Amino acid sequence: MIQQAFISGQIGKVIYTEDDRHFLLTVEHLEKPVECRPMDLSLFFNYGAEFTTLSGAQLDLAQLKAQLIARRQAYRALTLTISGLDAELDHECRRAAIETAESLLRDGPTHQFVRARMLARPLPAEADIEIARDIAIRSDATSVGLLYQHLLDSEQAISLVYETWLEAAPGYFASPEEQAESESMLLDLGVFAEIALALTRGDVTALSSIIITYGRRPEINSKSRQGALILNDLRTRLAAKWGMSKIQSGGNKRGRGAGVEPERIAEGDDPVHGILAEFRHRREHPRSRTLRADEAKEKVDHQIEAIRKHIRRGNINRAGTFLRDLINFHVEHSKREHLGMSLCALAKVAIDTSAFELAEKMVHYALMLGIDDIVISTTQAQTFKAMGRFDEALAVYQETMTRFSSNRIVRTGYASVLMLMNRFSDVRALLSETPLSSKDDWIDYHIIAMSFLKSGNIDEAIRRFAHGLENNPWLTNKNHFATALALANIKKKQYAEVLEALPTNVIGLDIFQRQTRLALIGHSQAALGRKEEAVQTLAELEQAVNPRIINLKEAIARRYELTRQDRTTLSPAEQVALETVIDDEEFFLAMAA
Amino acid sequence: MRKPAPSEFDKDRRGVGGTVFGSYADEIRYAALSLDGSGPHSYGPYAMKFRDIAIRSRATTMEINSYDFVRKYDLKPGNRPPPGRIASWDNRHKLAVAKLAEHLTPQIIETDFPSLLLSSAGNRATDDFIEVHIYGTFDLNAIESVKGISTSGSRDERDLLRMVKQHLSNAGKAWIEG
Repeated sequence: MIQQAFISGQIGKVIYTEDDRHFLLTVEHLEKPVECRPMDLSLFFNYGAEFTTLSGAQLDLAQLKAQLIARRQAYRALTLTISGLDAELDHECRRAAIETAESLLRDGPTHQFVRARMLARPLPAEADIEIARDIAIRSDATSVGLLYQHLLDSEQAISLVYETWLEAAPGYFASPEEQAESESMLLDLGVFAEIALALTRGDVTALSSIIITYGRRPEINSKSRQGALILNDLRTRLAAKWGMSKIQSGGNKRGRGAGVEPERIAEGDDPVHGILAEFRHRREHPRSRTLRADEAKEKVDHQIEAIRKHIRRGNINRAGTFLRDLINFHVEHSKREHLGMSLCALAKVAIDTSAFELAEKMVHYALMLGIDDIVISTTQAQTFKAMGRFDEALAVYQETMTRFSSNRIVRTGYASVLMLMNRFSDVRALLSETPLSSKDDWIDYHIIAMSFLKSGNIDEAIRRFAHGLENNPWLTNKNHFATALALANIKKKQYAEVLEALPTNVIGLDIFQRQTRLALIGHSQAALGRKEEAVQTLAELEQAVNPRIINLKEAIARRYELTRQDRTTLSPAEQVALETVIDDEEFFLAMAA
Repeated sequence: MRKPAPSEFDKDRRGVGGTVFGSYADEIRYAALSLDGSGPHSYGPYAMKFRDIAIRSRATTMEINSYDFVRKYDLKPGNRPPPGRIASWDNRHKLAVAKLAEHLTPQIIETDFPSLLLSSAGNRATDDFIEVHIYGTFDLNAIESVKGISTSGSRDERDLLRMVKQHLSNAGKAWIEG
């Protein structure tokens, strides 16, 4: 049994203790842990690498490998994002770093990690943010570009948060080590980043809710840590120093680069806030005097479609401009509830394309409308979930379940987050298995079966998927069961059965489900060595816009060396890393399909 | 800031190191003697070469790696290592000759020397090298060059190496491909 482990994503190594012996696991040799030697310990502990200590009965080698790969990716993305700011590197090198960082940031938890780190500490004066942002914009690296824009907009706030923390913290901790440990935890949770962004927006409500949300978290509120108290102190000090009403976005020292439209994500000067606040407090809303209801709807649909297209193409600036027009139009001709639904629909598009910042912004706007609507709450939870902020997603779902206790969709969403956190027994406890009478009952049954798949009990998962496929009477559910059954067969390396039993031209199969199936089929063909067929199948995904589909397709092509440029010999570590990506994406897609 | 390792593990990890170095085991950085800038591949794909001036006054050398050394000579805490098996940095050549003399035949040529001194095919059981122990920390100024392969690996790995090479070049350090 593994008793304790030290994991460092920064250097791609784990040292763990098993039966009182110490072993080393590296990203380069994931399949071959070796017994630690003095040099290993020295290289791990004595060179200043960041590491985390893990302990508990749940530790096993498979879990450590998965964590190592995920953390390695997160640190790589961070290093590359920082390198984009490095003026000592040549332009081509910075561009390559930014583009690679962008591809790594498609992963929600990686994005969350990098965002939390980047927005938590002031950058040195040499950091070349404007040029980095311009390179990102020209390279269509939307996520990295938005992060750099946040850095520009929030520079003053980031410095203030850090300075205020340094002033306040020593009074709460017995030793510098204890302070450093708490600081590191708050930093990785994203607390400093969120506070800095709220300050930049001048958003008092958001600042307070951040303090409340994080202050309730058990790791912050434990006896040994003074998190909740210090967060409140931090808020008081910041409010006094900053003067919330005087907060101006753009109060940065560097100014903005010329010739590039600034991203209006951090918005202390966001005119939409004022418009929405007024809209929220409007007592009556007269019908539009200039447009009939169907004309207004047609206009809104047209605007939504345009925004959707821009989001999918990664034109976030343009999407933002159209979004402001849409909001203005709703305010002029429609109701708050309608605007709330439009924003949620668009937030879901943004989530699907990994434009998380934009999704968060739209949810924020929807929340500002002050409507008690379950769709807004679930969209907020889905945004957190997609960004890998599982604790926050759970908190929102929990709160929504309290208000809408009988809603099955909320409960299902809650279960899906538990699943991603590997809390399988909680998933099974939450969802009922009997009687299987309604469509929702069968959806619960499907999720429980997925929990068996994720926890490695593949035979039980297959039994349940087959049962669902055969016995549930709803066509859309049948499609979900068939896709999941195919995935379970892939896990058992029964690839031929996937090809035999997974049609892609079924009635009721939407484009997203069809693309998921094509990816599973392509994977199976590739694994069987039928590479030409696999290439043809995956070519049908050329038009896919969902980053997870794109990511999966690329990972399959690389893992099975399907294209000429992929035909370089992969190291075992690269193979394992690609297989992990494939596993994760296929599971996520099968859950969503 | 590095989080301190739990004391129990600290105590334990001093096992082999503590036997050889006693209470200052945690201050020791490990390296290997090399003629061509290569390192033992089983510890990682890249190797840094130290500048002589940066370590000469604080380095010692050991006939084989300390893990095997403790077992081979059944070394216990407080025991002195057997004579002729360790040497100061300035006497490392004597240790190398003492260790490798039997391999020095008339047939051997100069290009054989690097692999004779450090032999590593990525398997720790068969790796053979003279281990170097450096007391204390070091920074970029202590590095002379870095060796490794920068043209293979994943995309992010290659990007990272490209940046490392530029930084090394800016700092006047060499990158040795291979």
